[in-house]
Amino acid sequence: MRKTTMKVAVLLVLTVIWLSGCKRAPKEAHRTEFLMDTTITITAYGSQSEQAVEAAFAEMRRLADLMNANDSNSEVALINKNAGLKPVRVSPETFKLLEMSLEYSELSNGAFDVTVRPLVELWGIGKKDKYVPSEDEIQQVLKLVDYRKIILDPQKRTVFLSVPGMGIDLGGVAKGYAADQAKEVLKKYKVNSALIGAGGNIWAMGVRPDGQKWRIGIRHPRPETGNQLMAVLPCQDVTVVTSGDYERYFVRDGMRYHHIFDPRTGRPANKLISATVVGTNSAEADILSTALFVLGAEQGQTLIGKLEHAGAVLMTPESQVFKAGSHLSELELVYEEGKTSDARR
Amino acid sequence: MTQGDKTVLIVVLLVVLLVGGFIWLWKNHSQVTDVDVPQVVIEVNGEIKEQFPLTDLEPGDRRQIEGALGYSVVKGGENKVMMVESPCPDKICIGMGWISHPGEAIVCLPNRVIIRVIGSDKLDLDGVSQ
Repeated sequence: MRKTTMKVAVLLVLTVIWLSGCKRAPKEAHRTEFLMDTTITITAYGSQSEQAVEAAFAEMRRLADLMNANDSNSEVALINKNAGLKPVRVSPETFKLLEMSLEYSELSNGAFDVTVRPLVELWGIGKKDKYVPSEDEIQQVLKLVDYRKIILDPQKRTVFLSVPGMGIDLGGVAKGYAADQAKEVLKKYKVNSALIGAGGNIWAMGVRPDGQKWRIGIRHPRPETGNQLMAVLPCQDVTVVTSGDYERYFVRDGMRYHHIFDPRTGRPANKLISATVVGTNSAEADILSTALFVLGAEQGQTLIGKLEHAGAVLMTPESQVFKAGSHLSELELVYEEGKTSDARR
Repeated sequence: MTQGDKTVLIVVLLVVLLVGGFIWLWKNHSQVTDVDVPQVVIEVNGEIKEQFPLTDLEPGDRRQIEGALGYSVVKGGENKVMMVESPCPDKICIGMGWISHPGEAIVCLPNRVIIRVIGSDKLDLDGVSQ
């Protein structure tokens, strides 16, 4: 057989293999773990996706150990134990998150406040049986809720809660921060397409492996209206975080009591039933979704307007939806109007 | 080109077409099963215990799942699924109602049970923020 014939044959085989799509698809790795009182799921695509997901979970486990207020060995528990006693030296991560938290407490006029822990314990939503504290009890505990009473020393990297009985809870920011750190770990392993879900905080890294934008749903806060979803957001390289009054709650005498407190009144915030923030930093989006949930539609939109780099989708108890800020040009509202009857419940 | 060369070329061409055709068929077939019918995935403690097409669950059908605390029970509807029984204290998972779109999930933290819908439909979701 002549050389040319051989060449033609080889070329033919290669062409057909190429046409039939035998190129290597990016390897998918998928894993779910229970961490930080929630489920964390990572789906990553890339040649080293397995190692990437393993390393990302290792990092998140480390952060969970530092920041879980309910784990008596955590840094946060140590800070709380020493409230009114002495400053506690902490890791750079915990310090950075506290600095960030205080910044946003200032920006939101105290609508977001990490010192809500005594309130959380007083109400015990999900732990005590439908307990509604008296106004007196609430006022007593509110004396301990004030972010201005946290004293940070950047030189010594110490945290001091200046009043005995104070306590901090990083639940409103730690999951977002963990998702941000997980994303950085995945990047190091050359993953550029991944979805990280940390208890409703979502990081949509890059685009889907098929090159299309990710499609992230926003849950409708009242599934009993027949709507499971409120909206769908096609997106890339953003994080989507939602705060809602449906995650931990109870209903007593026709009133819904849930786990997001207004640090100024000491009661569950009731101006919104769902607040979603879209941004490029999940810790920030986590804080903002809580802050907006407490602030309500009007002040919430003003706050988002000041920031420029984030967007928000808010739903009021009357099921009015407000959109503000960036990243939302392709948002599709998918719920059916008029199906929400008694949204307050 | 000799007669022998031609024969070799034709044989190679035939084999290549046949193999290529099979690969094409196989790929399309697997796409039909993987993507077009939404699947229900049941996970306990992060491990997949069961996976079946959403359509397998007839309205009223129930399935029991053994979790960390005890048995959770899911019920089927018209192409949807919900949690109806759970040993957890707060029953938030039951309050989540029906799910039907790929990307949606019911999570019961205390019992370590996750019910998820995967695949694709007209909404084509990858995840749900909640």
